[in-house]
Amino acid sequence: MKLNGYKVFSFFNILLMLIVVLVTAYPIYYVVIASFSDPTSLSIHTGLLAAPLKPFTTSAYELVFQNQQILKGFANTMYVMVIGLALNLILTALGAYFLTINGPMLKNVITFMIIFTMYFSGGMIPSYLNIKDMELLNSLWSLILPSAITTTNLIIMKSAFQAIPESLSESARLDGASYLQILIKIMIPLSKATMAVMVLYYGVSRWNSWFAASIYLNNSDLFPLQLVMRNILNMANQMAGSTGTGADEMAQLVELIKYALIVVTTAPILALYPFLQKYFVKGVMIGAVKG
Amino acid sequence: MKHKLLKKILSSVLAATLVFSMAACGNDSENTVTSSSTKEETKAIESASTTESSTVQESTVAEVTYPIEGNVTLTIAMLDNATVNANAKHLFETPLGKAWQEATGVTIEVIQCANNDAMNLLIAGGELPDLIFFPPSKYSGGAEKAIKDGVIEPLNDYIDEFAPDLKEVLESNEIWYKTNVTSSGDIIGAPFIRGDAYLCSGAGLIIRQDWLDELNMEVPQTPDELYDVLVAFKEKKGATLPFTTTNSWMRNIVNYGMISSAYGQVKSDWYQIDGEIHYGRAEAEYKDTLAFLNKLYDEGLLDPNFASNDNNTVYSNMANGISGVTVGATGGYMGTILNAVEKDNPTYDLTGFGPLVAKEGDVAYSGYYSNALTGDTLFMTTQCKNKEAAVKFMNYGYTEEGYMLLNFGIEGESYTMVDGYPTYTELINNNPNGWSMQQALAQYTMSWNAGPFVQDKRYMEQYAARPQQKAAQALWAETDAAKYMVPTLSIAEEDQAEYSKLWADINTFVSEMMIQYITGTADLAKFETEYLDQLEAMGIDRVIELRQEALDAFNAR
Amino acid sequence: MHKNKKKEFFLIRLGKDLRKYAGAYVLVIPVVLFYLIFCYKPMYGVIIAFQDFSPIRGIAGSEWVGLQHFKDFFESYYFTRILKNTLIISLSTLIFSFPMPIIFALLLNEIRNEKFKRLVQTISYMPHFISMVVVCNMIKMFTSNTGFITSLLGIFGVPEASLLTKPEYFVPIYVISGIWQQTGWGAIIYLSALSGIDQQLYEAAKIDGANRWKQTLHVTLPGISQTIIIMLLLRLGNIMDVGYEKVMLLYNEGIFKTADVISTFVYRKGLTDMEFSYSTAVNLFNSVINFIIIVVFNKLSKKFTETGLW
Repeated sequence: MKLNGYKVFSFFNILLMLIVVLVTAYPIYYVVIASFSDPTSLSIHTGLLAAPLKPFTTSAYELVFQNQQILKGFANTMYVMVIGLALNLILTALGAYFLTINGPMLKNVITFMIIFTMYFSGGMIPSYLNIKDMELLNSLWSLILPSAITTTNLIIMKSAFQAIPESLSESARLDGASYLQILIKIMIPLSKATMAVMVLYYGVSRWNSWFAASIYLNNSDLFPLQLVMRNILNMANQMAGSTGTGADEMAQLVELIKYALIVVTTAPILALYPFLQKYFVKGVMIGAVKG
Repeated sequence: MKHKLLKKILSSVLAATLVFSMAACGNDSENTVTSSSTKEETKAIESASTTESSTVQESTVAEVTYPIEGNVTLTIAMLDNATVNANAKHLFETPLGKAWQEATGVTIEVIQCANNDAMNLLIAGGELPDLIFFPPSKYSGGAEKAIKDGVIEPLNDYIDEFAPDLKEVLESNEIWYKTNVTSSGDIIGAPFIRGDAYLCSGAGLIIRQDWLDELNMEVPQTPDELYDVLVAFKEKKGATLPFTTTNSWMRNIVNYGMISSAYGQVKSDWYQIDGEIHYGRAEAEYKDTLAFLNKLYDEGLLDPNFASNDNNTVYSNMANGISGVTVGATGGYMGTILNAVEKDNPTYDLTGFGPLVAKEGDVAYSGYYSNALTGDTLFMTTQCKNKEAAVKFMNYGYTEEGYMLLNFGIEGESYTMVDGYPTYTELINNNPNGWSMQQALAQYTMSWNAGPFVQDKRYMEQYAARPQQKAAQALWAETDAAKYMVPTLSIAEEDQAEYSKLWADINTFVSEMMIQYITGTADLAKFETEYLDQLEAMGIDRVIELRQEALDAFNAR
Repeated sequence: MHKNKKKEFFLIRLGKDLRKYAGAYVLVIPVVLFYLIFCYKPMYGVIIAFQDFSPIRGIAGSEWVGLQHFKDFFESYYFTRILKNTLIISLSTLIFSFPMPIIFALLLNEIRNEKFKRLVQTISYMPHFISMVVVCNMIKMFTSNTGFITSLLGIFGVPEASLLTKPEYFVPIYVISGIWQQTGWGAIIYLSALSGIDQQLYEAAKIDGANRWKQTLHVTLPGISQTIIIMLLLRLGNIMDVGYEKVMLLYNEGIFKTADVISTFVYRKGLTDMEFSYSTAVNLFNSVINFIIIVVFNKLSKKFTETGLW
C-alpha cells in the first residue's frame, strides 16, 4: 500500500515536472524561433509561435555579429567575468570563513559592519566620486572591484560553512593547521555545492550587470555586452514613437535583431549551469571525510 | 549675405525629427520641452519662403574664419548613440565627425556617456569637459541652476565676437531666442532647432482608407462622423476592436487635443491663450472629450486593452484587420504598419486624419505638436580651457558650410547638388555595406538626429517617405497648435520644492482618472464633485499660478 | 580614572586577541578593506537625504533642508496607498513565491531518473535569464482580452477583457509570473543544500523503517532548514523593496490603485527633476524599516531556531 502511494506520487510528480518543463521552456523556444523569423511578419503576429515565421532568416545573427560593439562587448564582459569571479570567490570565502571562527573579539563588530551595508549605502554620487578619486574611471577595474563581494552571498556561504561540523576544524587546529589551510583543505571541499552556487550567482550577476559600466565608463570600447545590448534595445523603444517618416526602417531593424541579440547575449551564461550541475549531485558523505 | 543664408535655412527647413520619442515626451507635460511657435514665427517663415531665391550665395561668414588656427583640441561630453556606434566608435570618428573637425580645425576628444545618469555624474564629478551636448533641462534644476552652479558658461560675452552666425539665427526668431536664454538673460548654448512649425508635428489619427472607400464613407472630421465610421467598421468590416491604441498614445490624444477642438477646448494639457496659462485637465470642457471616449469604450468601439497594449499589439491589430483606426506617428506607426502589410495586401491603405473639429471645415485649435527647440544643446562649461575656440566651434553648425555639412554630409560623397538641391548619393540611399539608410545617415549627417544646427526639410524629403506619410504630415500640421503652445518654462527656484510636491500628486491623479473615466470605472456624472473639486483640493490653482508666473517671466525676457 | 582603566584593560584584551587570532584576522583583512573602501567611504552620501542636493556643489555646498523630503513623502496624497501596495505585493510574494523553490527542489529530489532530473533542472531555471521586457510582453499577450489566460478564466465566468486593466488582477499576475520566472532559479540554493545532506542519515532512517515521506520530514527538511531560514531572513529584510522595473512594464494608470508602489512613485517623481535628495530620503526610509525588521527577526530566529544571519 505504502509503496503504491509512493508510485502514485511519483507519477504525478513526473507529470508535474513535465508541465514545469513545458511552461518554462516555451518562452526560451519563443525567443529562439523569433530570432529566425521574418521581422515584418513577426511585428504583426499575435499569439503563440510554433515555428519560425517564414521566410526563415539568419540575417539577424549576421547583423548582430557584424556589429563591432557587440564583439568588443563580449570580450570586455569575459574579462570582467573571469577576473571578477575569481575575486568574488576568494573574498567571499575568506569573509564567510572568518565569520564562522569562534573566538575573535572583533567578530561581532565585523559581522555587524558587513550586515549593515546590506541596508545602507551612500548612493550613486558618492560611489561615483569614490571611484573617481581612486582613478578607476574608464577602467574595467571600476566594474570588478566595487562588486567584489555581495553580502547576501557571503551570508549564504557562511551558513554553508557553519553546517560543517565544528569538530572537523577544531581537530585540524589541534593538528597545527592554519586557518587558511582549514579553509582550503576542509571548508571549501566540503561545501562544493555551495561554491558552485556562488559561481552561478556571481557569474550571472557579473554577466548581466550594466549599470556600473554605464556610469563609470566613458569609452565605448570598454562597454560590456549587456550595456551594448541595452543601448540597442532602448533605441527600439524610441523609434516606435518617432515622427520621422523613415523611422519604421530602423525600428524594424532593431526589432529584427532584438531576439537574436537576446539569444547571443544569454546563451553563453546559460551554458554555465550544466557544468556546475555535477556538484549538486547527492552523495556527500560528511562522515566519510570525518573518518 | 547672412540674411540670404538665414532665409535659405528658414525656407528649406521642413521635416520632422526622428529620434526623440514623442510618445515618451508626451507623457508628462513637465518633461516635454515645449516650444512655442508664434504668429511671428510662422510669418517669418512664410515671408522667407515667398522671397526665397534659388541662388545659392557663395559666402564665407565674415567674422569667423575656419579652420581655427592653432591646432586646438577640445573635449566634448555627449550621450552615446547606438545607431552611430553600430559602425563607428563615436560621432567624431564618423566621416561626418572627421570632416567637421577638419573644417573647424579643432580636434575633438569625446567623453562618451551611456545615459543621463552617467552625464549627471560626470558633471557631479566636478571636472568638466570643454563642451557638453546634453539638454540642460535634464540637469537637476535646469539651465538656470546649471549656470548658477557654475556648470554652464553663458555665451553672452562671446557670442558677438565668436558666434555671429549663431546669434543671427537665434535673433531671427523671438521664440528661439527666448527659449535659449534664461530669465536673467544668459544665453545658454547652441541649440538644435527645427526651423519650421511643420517639422514639429508628425503624429495624429490614422484610418484604413481602403475600408472607407469600400464603404463609401468620407474621412471623418467630427466626433460623430468618427463614431459612425467605427460602427461601420465593426459591423461591416468585421473589425472587432475598431479603434485601437496604447496607453501613451491615448494620453497624447488628450494632451495634444486631437479630439478636444470639437468640444471647444484647445487641448487637455497645458496651453496658453494670449499669455494666460490654462490647464485643460482642470477645465469643465475636458469632460466632453472623456464622455466621447467613454461612449466608444462602452459600445465596444475602443479597444478595451488600450491601457495595457504595447505598440506591437497595435501594429498587429491594424495589420490584421482587427482594427481600422489608431493614433500614432508617421514613421513609427504608419510606416511600420504599411511596411508590414505591403507584400500580402497591396490594396491596404492608410490615411492620416483629424484632429477632430466641431463641424467640417473648422481648423483645429491644436494637434500633435512638439518643439522647435528640442532642448538638445551644445553648451560650454565654465572650465573650458579655450573659450574662443569652443564658441567658434559651436558657431560652425550655423554657418552655411556647417549647415550643409551637418544636414547632408560631405559634398560629392554623401550628397551632390542637383539643380541646387542637395541630393543624397547611393552611399546613403543604398549603402554598399548593407547599412540601413538611417545608419548611413548617422555616419554622414546629424540631420537624422539632433545637433547644434538648424535642421533642413530636404533631408526628410528624401527619407523614404510614402505619399500617405507625406500627406498625413502636411494635414497634421494644419492646426493653430503653435499659437497655443506653452514654451519651455522654468519654475522660479524658490518655488520649485512646492511646485514639484504639488505636481507629483496631481499628475498621478489626472493620469489615473483619465483612464478611469474612459473605461467607466469612475462615474463621469460625478466629474465635478469627485474630480474637479479634488483637483482643487490638491492645489491645482497654486500650480497654475506658479506656471503663470513662469510664463510671465518667459514673456518678459 | 575608572573609565581609563577599563579602556586600558580593553585594549590589552584586544591586543591579546589580535595576537591569538592573528591567522584569522589576516584572512579577513581584504574583506574588511573592501567594505571600508567601497561601502563605508561613500556612505556619507546618505546625508543628501537631508539636503537640497545639487551635484556640482556637492554635499559640502548644498543647502540643508532637514526632514523636508521625508515630510513631503509622508504628506503625499498617495503615501498610504503606495505603502499599502508595496506591502501587499511584497507580502504576497513572500507567502506565495517564497515556498515554491523549496517545494520544487523537494519534488525534484524525488525524481529517480538522473537524466530527466537534470533536464528539468536546466530548463526550469532558464526563465530567470529572459529579459524583463520580453517576459512582460508575454504576460501582456497572455492576459489581453484574447490572450489564452483570459480565455481560460473565461471558462470560469470571468469577463473576457484585458486582465491588466483591472486592478484586482494586478497582484496575482505579478506574483504568479514571478513564481514562473524565479522558481527554478530560486531552487538552486536548496538543491545544493539537499546535496549536502549526509547520506548516512537516510541509511539510518531506512533502518528505522521510515518511508519516503517520513524520510523527507525527518531527514530532508531538517537538512535544509538552515538554508530555508537564512533565505527567509534575507527575504524579510527586503520587505519594503518592490523593484520598479517589472511593475512599470506591467502597470498603467488605470490600475494604479493596486499597482503603484513606492519605487515607481519615486521613479515618476524623479523624472520631473533629477531629484537625488528625495529618492535618497525615500530609500533611507525603506532601509531603516528593512533594517529594523531584519534585526527583530534575526533575534527571534536565533532564539527559536538557533540560526541567524549573524
